[in-house]
Amino acid sequence: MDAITPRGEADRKRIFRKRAELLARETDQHEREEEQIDVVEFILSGEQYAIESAYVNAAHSMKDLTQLPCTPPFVLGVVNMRGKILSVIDLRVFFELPRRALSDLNMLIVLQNDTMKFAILADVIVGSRRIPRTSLLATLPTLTGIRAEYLLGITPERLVVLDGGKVLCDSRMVVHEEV
Amino acid sequence: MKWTVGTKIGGGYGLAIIILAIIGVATYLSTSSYMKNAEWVVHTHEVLATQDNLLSSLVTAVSAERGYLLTGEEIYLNTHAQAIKTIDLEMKHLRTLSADNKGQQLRLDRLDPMIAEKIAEMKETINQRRVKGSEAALQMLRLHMGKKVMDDIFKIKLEIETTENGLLQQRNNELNNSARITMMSIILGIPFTIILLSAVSFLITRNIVQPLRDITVSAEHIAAGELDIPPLSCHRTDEIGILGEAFTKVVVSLNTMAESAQQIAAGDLSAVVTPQSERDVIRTSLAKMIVSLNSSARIARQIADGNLTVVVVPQSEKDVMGNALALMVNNLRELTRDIIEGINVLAVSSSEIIASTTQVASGASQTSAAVSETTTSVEEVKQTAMVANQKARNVSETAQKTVKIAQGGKNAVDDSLAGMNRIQGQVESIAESIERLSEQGQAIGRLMETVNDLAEQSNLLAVNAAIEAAKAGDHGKGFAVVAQEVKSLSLQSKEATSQVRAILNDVQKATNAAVLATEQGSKAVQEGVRQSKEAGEAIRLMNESIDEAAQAAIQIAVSSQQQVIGMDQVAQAMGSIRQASEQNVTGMRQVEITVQGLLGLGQKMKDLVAQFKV
Repeated sequence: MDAITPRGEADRKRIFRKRAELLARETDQHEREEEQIDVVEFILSGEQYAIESAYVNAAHSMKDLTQLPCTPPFVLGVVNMRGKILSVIDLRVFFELPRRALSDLNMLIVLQNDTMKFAILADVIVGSRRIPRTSLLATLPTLTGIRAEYLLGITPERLVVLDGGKVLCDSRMVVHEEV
Repeated sequence: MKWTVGTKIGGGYGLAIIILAIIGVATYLSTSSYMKNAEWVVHTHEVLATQDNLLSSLVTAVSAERGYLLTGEEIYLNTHAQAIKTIDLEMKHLRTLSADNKGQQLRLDRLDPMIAEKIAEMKETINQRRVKGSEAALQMLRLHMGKKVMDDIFKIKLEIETTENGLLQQRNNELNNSARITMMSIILGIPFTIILLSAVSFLITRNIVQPLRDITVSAEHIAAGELDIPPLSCHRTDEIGILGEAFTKVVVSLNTMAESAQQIAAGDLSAVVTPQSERDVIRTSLAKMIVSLNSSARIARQIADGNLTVVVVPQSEKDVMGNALALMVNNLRELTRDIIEGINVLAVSSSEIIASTTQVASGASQTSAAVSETTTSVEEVKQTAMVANQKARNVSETAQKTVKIAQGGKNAVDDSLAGMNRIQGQVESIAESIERLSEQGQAIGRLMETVNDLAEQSNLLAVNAAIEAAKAGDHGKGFAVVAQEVKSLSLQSKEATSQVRAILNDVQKATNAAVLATEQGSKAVQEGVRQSKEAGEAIRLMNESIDEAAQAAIQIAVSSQQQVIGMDQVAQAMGSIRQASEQNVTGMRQVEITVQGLLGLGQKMKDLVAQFKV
């Protein structure tokens, strides 16, 4: 061990130095000047979507979904998230995506602004990333209706970025139905 | 005792009849007198009853009169009239009853006027009562006229009663007397008669039956053939005496005939038997018997002299003696002829025997020579048997060695079997170890699941951290880098887990293959064990056969030994046979000599038979 330890010590120092160099390297001039937005990337029915981190409160795995009667098809139900009841919205209804069976592996992304808080369904959360705002392309002319409304833009990698503010502020999300 | 037996029996019966007649007459007489006396007693009682009735009627009349006097009622007068009528009737009855008695008639004559007076007095009193009243009637009663008459009447009545009682006493006595006489005649007469008749019958029976019994005993003796009986000593002139004399004559006659028969039985045919009359069957038969026996004796003497030509004529088919003699003569004739023939045959046979005996003697000599040769052959066979015995012994020893070698092979197989068993145990323990390894690999797989879960959650945590960092803006940039690192770590650990899982899969495949291999190994080992067992069994069977072969070899050795001994005995026996055949030759010579003697004997017998005339 005595023989190994000095070498391990040297290896560790080398690794730390490499990391420090990486971190200390100045970001690209181009990147730094442009406005960056943080997004959370997720997959829904095989398509890649992203939403601005500013509207995201947290990401969770979906557990103990309780379905509610007398609700529109886009309301999947409610979940108990750390003692708070949140409604779960299924964006596939709006985007006319094929619906698959739900499982414990499904994830929830909690959206929040000053007035509204709910969760949207996601199959897999890929992670968070930063994308330059300028790289976003305008919406496709083929997209119409609600898709066009919620869309912020599409990246060159065909990542559909949703506009969280619009989703949260949509008055259709407020369900007031009497039976 | 001049009476015949018939007279005696008749006299006995007559005496009994006379006594019976006497007893009957006496009993009849006394019984009839008894009956007469009884009638008289009844008569006296009737007289007494009638005079009592008379007086009581009188008293009734008086009391009815008094009744009328006191009351003056007519009803009493009726009773009174009835009583008067009864008095009249009773009076007449009394007179008829006592007609045979003078005294009583006189008393009745005195009584009649008194009663009439009394009745008249009562009539007067009743009239007084009816005409003048009760006072006048009572006046009349006070005169006591009625009383006096009544007293007289009672006096006479007493007299009559006394007389009748006396008569009754007398007649009772007579009645008792006649009854006693009857009883006595029965009580004394019948026992006397029984005793008398018993005595008479006893005497008669003894007089007749005893001699008859003696004669019967004698007759039974004669019937049994015993003639030495004592003479019957009875000097009586009646039928029994005559019977006894005739019986004595029979015995004498039988005795003389028995003597003659005894003489004949003793063979003395000179006895002379003279029949007393033509009808004397027994003596005539005895005489004929003597004649017949004499003729038979003559014939027998002729036969004894060798004259078999004599002719015997039986008197009838039942003549046993004659028939037997005839048969004897015939049989003797046949026998003699047969003997002659037999002697002729004997002579011829003797000659033939001599010839045969000579041949046999020469044959015996040849046999003796052959036996000598056989003895030599037996000696050679014995040598051969000894060689065979030696060989058999060698074979037996070889078989013993083979048995030992087979035993060694069996032991080796047993050892290999034990080794196979050990291998089986070890293979089984290897299989168990691999099984455990497989189970542990599965446990590692479950652990890897957990690790994968942890990586997932770390990833989620990293995302959340990145979100938080983004919210913090520029201040959160460092934190975003950390979150990025955490995320890359979680990805690495995920990759690592997937690699571990791939390796684990390979390991599990390998362990499964190992499990299969060990199972096959186990089966192979079992097969090996089974084959070793079969090999052991085969070697054991081989061992048994070799054992049997060894035993057989030993038995062969022993039996060939016995064969040698047997051959020895055969050789000895052949020696004995040789001696015997030599003795045979000498014996045949002796037989020849003996047969010569036999021939001479036949000739002699021929001469003897020639004496008989057939």
